Amino acid sequence: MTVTHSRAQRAAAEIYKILANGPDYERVPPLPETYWNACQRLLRMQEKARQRGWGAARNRVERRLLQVVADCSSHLHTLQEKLIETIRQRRLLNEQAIADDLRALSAEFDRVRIDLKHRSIAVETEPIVLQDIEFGRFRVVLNWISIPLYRAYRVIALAPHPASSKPDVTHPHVQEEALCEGDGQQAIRDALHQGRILDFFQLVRQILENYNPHNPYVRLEDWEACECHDCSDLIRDEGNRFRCASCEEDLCDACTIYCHDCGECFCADHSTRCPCCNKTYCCDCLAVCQQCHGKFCKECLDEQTCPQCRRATDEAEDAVDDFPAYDADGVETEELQTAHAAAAV
Amino acid sequence: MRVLLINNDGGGFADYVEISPNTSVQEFFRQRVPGRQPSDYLIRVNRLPVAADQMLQEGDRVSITPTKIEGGR
Repeated sequence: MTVTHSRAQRAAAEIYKILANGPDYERVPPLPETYWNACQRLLRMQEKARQRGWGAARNRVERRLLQVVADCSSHLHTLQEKLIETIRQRRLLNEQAIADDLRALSAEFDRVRIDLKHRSIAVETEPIVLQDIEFGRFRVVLNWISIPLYRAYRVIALAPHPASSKPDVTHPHVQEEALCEGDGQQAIRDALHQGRILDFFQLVRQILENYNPHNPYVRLEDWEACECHDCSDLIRDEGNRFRCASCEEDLCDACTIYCHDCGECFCADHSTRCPCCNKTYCCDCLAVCQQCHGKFCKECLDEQTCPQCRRATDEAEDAVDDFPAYDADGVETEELQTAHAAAAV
Repeated sequence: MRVLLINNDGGGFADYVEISPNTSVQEFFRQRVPGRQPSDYLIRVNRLPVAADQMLQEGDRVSITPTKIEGGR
């Protein structure tokens, strides 16, 4: 797509205007007046001490003066460095050169779009392939009004193939549409601040076309690896990848819990152990004891009663059998009434 | 004669440099980026790819951009 002359010219005029003002952080820091005033005051004190022969006071004042002079000098040195850096960065292209850059984009990139309304320039890269992994094309969108700010551009995957473990990582060096510029940081910053828009897009493209194995968001060898929901380890081998039948989260071999009833795999959140036999089950395969309302596996429940409650019931019933049923008057004994009550509970 | 050199390698810089007349692009690259291979760089003269033996002209804009730039995280 060719960039029209008038569109490039209008965009260049705006970009030049923004860059000519310079970013806020390029403002030169103020002169160290406070330190300078302190130096003058200490000098007067030193002179006074000298004239009056106050040896100890003079020594003290001179030591203090030495410190303040060093501080003042340090501030001036910082100011000098800042000025050098600012002058170096501010070799701004003129408006015509910026327009030439914009028109030249068409020769470097297949698709170029200058959006005057949104004040943005977008180019599309060729499909990016790194070590046989396809990442598709990327659209680099520069908002020229944001050039003086920290992040003026976005890198958008047009056919995203994100890392399995991090859906917001669409390239080893792109996360949430932000490129980590690595070695290209200074060159990109200079290109943007000097209005070298063509160089800027070339630099971004070259970073996208390369892979730095020492510092990626996700390593290429781990691109298809997913993260275990329970332990967060990467699951690199597909054979060791399981999925919770309840929440469908990925699990590694070590974290997968099998239900001894239905035989499905579950994560820690959706499985538990039968408190009686201690075997693992999913939450759906456990049943409730009618008496204590605890959850037990079906094998451990007998007539919907857990073994503990069952034992307690049996003991209570045995106790009823052991007590004398009636006293001499034919009335239920007190022990029998208590045992009946216990058995009922 | 003077040409504008934009070197996007490392920290990068853009400055006018003096060269002798009849300097080819290849020769200019050898002088300015010694010990490196031209194939490792995108070399553009006045924003366009050029042949290695093209002679530079007064006021040309030469940009040198490495093809391999390592990103980070």
